[in-house]
Amino acid sequence: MKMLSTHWPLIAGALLPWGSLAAAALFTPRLSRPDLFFAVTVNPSFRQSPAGRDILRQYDRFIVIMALLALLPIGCLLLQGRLPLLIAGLLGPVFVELAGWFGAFLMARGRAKPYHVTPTSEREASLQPRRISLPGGWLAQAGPFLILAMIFLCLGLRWDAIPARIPVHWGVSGRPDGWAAKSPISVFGTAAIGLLICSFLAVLWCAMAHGVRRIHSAGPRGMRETRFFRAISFFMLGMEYWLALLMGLLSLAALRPNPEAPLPAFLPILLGQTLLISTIFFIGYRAGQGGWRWGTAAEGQMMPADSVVVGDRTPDECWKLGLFYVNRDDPALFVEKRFGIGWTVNLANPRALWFIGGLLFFIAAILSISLLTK
Amino acid sequence: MENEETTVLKIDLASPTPAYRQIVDGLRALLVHGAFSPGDRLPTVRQLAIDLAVHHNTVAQAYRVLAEEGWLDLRRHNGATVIQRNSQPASAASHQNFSQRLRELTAQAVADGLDAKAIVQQLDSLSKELNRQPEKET
Repeated sequence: MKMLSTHWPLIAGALLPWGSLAAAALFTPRLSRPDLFFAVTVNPSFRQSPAGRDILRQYDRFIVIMALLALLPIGCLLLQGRLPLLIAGLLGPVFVELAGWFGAFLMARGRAKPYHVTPTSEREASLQPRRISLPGGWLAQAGPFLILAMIFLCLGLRWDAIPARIPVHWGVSGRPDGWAAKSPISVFGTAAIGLLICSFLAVLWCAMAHGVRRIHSAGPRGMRETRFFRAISFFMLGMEYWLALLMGLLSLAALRPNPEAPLPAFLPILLGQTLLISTIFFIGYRAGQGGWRWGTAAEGQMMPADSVVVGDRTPDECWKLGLFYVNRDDPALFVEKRFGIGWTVNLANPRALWFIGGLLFFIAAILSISLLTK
Repeated sequence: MENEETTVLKIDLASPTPAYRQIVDGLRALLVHGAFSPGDRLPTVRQLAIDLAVHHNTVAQAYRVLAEEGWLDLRRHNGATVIQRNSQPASAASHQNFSQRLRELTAQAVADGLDAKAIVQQLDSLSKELNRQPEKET
């Protein structure tokens, strides 16, 4: 019991991703569009058929077993702290669950494939130019960048008040366990990482707003897609605010009068992450992929079984392992994920190289700043 | 990304008619029926290509055909804009072409099982619809 009381931050830090992953794995197949079942185009009524229910039951069982197995490595956290045990305790459950999730998905997909149907070859497009409206307007979009700009300004103006040795990393207890000599990179590095991530999210949103394929262009289904996109846009904006505040406040730790004192940041970070994860779960649960569940909730009935299966207007054979979309003939850079919430990249699109290159650049820049800070 | 009650273009990728021709025919039908006014902007080539899942060149070719017919104004970086169309008096060849295509279409309809009365009704309804259109072309 005493061990639990002293190790609770570590255990909470391991249980949050464990629980989130288990819940995500169980929810995800239920959020896909009705005519997509484990990334296979099927008749919308297939999900409710005995074969569909059986596939889903087997998938659920597998996920639960793997989630229970993933609890075992968390026990390492209770053993007195060597680093390998700590890493095994924190990352082990994630790896076990991800591997289990992937295996369960592939098994279910394999069983669903014989029930594949050919979706309609009809395509539709709105003939009104797509107008992009920024969620929250320009001011709300600029907010995270303004926060970080103020942090930069504050650190710059109070440069002389920053001690020669500043904390750059904290343990779960909030006590600093990594220090760096005062330099522009160590002082501004954390806020710069926040700026890079916020910039990446803003650019990503902009690219998606212009490049996402609409599956339904008009009518109630089209409206739901628009609403879904807006919900995800606001979530991304919320993430930018969260990161700007987190990175900004961690940067300001350099100005604390007593840098040795523990930073009471663990609980707020845990709460913030829990809130973000809960929000995306809530959006996913209420909306479903592309917002299709809003319709059924409003109408109080199941999605009608269409005589024509629409799917997601992408060919089944272009989905590698059901997760990666590779279609040279499709000009869309972003298409709806078949398994999960949101969109994925068409890896055969020439612009995908730019996207992946940009992503790698951001990751490299963030890692470089992190390494230089230490 | 906005969505209003909007005019929608549909094509069938499995149809033997080329995609660009389906886009031309669909858009032209909407233009003739007054779905757009002069000055209205159409989606960019890239946007329409993404939503219809066809190559950019397919949409660009369709826009060019409609521009040549005098329906659209295409300007670089400005997309496609619907313009006031100054229709030319139909040539004898156009009359003959129309007559020929109508005959072929009617023959196809009869072959598909439509009776003469249904065809006449359709033509009559189409004629009334065309007569109701405001005289946009001068």
